[in-house]
Amino acid sequence: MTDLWSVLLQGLTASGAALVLLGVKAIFRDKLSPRWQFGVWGVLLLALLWPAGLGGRYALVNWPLLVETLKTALTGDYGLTRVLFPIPLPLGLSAPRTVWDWLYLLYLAGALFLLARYALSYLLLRRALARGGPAGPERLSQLRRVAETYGLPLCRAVEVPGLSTAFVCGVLRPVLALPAGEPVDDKVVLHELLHLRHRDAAWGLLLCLLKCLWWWDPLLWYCMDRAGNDLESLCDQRVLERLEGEDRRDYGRILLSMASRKYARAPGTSSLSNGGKCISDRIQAIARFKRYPRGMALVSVCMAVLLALPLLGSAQGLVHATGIGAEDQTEFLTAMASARLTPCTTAAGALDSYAKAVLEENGIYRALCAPLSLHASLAGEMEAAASGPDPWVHEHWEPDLPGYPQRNYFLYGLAPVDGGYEALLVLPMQFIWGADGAPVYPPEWGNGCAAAQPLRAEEQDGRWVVLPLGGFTVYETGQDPDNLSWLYWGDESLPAAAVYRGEAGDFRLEVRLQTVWTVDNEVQLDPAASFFGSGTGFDSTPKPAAVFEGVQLASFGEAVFTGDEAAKAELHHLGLSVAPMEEDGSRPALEEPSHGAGGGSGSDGGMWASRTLSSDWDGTLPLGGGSGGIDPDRVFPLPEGYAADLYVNGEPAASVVLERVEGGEGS
Amino acid sequence: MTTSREQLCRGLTCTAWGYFLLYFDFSLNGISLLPDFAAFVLFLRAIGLMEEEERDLALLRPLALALLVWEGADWLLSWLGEDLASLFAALNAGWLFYQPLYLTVQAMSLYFHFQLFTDLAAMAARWQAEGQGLDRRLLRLRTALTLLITATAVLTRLLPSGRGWSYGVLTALLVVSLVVAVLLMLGAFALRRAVRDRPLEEAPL
Repeated sequence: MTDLWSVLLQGLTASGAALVLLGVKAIFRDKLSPRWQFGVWGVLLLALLWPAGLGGRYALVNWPLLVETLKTALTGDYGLTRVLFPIPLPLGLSAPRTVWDWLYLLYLAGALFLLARYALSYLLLRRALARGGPAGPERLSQLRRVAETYGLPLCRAVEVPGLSTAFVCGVLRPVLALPAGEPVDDKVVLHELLHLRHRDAAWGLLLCLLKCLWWWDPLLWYCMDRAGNDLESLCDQRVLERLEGEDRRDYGRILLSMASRKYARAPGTSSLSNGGKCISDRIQAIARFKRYPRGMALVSVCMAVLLALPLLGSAQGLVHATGIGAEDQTEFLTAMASARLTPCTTAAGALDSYAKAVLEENGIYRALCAPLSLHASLAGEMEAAASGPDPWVHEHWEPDLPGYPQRNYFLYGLAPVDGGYEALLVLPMQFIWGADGAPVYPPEWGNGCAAAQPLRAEEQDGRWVVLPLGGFTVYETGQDPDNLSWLYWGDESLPAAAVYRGEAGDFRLEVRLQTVWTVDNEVQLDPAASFFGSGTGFDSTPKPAAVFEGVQLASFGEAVFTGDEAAKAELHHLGLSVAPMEEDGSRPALEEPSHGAGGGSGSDGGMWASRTLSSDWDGTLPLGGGSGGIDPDRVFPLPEGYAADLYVNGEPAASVVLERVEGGEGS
Repeated sequence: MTTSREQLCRGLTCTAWGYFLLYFDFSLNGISLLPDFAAFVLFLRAIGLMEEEERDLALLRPLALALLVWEGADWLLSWLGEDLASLFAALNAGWLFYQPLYLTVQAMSLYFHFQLFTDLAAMAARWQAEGQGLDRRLLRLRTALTLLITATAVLTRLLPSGRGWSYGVLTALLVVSLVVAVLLMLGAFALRRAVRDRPLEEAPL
């Protein structure tokens, strides 16, 4: 924890767990054994030791969202609060500049002060014990007898004048302190030796350390005291399990006699007496004493597992800021906080979130996949739009689209580059804004159009973010404007992922390879909600952990005649067949084009075409094909080259290899 | 049969049918026709009928009542097409309370079923015929049910959602739970038979 907000986050998370534990312990106070009552505090210990908000998750209550919203509201800071370690660290500590820095310093000072105070009280106690003398022969004989009777270890024992009760002091070199000149009942000795056997002084020390760390939280302070008392009750249970009949009642009477005595709990010590109220509770527990039946350990462990499960955390979800205008500031700040707390965990997730941010004009979606350093400016843009004379919903964001998109998107030519990925976001458009600002619909353009923007996805601070590499460019595609979902199969008008070229005599041969990457965004429509009844629609909610569903490979090629008119006149039939080279560099078997006119493509990416040439032939022979869905893990490397067989006038004329001249990064 | 034996038999009948209601269900338009809260009504009645014979059963009464209220509220909300999770979500501070309450209810439910059959096993030890082994059978079923409830809660949280094999694992757990529930019912009926058939002069009452 390196600042006030991380302290608050960790403390609130642990306090929430503590409240639940206190409630559950109260319900099962008379049902589950003192072993369970003490052991279940381990769940709180886990909550205190597990960094809150780790991995973008929260335990039980969404405290990270609350803390982030509060922090932004009070400080204007859009950074992310991270708990790296569950203890305060001086990392990045500098001169305090704000009241929040001063409060953090105050917290550190309080923790250090308490630590020093406990250390001093322990040292003073050890000095007082050092003034005592070793236990006398009678006392030693008693101690050995009790230890041997119950099979317990013994440690150094001292008799100290003025002590009110016996106790064990120390973790590494424990000492049994006994009141000098006063008899000590065997059952009191048994109690202390059981503390020694189970190293309960170490638990006491841990509780003191936790009290130092969480001195500002009265609930956690109370829980540490309760845990200490439960430790004593557990020791009582262990004592009672070793005693019979009247001895048990004697033990209760001994406790009762200590109810009025003062006690001081020093760190690293255990004591039979822990205050009047606690002794009263312990006596009630003794009255309820029973040997718990076999199998009780099973349900105790299972319940502890159930209670600890929420510590695994729940995933954050996005919050919306749909209020009109800038009135509901809390809703807006909460939405921005949710975007910070919901990192995109994959490149596909970041690209999907960006695409949907553009489609929905949603700044919260954009924040999801934006670097944290941009959140403040993003928030400023949204606030400005919401506060203007014509206010939008608070989460409105302008992606500078050149028109209005259809509800879908494609990613063309994704390629790994320098620790990230680059891709072209392609959005089929319903219309484009004309020069006069009026919408221009596709029939006036001819074919359907798409807007494309180059993007880069990379990891920053453990989250995937998207950085635009330029603005939107409008492309007139070869697709029907009412069916632009065909862009899924590629389109010649759009840039290629790789271009291959070669020369064969009087012909220039070229193949352009496109890769179209998609995320599964199909949702079943609610038949009751959809005018069209059951069917599928587009899921416009970002998927920060998305993976690519598949990749479509689309290839286009052509042969272009570069010779003179005389040579062109000699040509009456042309055929071309191409296919990607094998991964080992060997040449694949190519399909022979027909001797008439026609073409085709194969699932291996091969294409072929043939044509009977007329007198007004334009000098080109186009090829088109696609190889269908490919596993995203098998796309790279792209082919190094394409094998090509050229047929002129029905005879094989050339066999060449088209070399890659553009694109294809990631091989 | 003496009145107290009749009570015991009625209590065991209530227990058996309570487990039927808990693990088997028919729904109409999203509304359960065999609601879980009715199971806890039966369990409460069973506790009332058997607590004289097994005093520890009385400790389960507050738990049964709390679980009845929880399940009853959920069932009533189902008539409006809602449930407790959505009700809390709709409340301003609902996000603060639902998960902790749900966790507490899960813990109470786990302990309730465990202790109920621990107590029934203790009864069986007193009422069963020589060498019948009904008490050990009930304890084994109790252990199995405890482990299944815990495993289901753990795996529901740990298994990745949307994967076919996750559904397969959870479905398998559900099927095993149904089998154990049937065996628990049969165990309760077996204990009822033991109570009813025990000769009067040998009855522990």
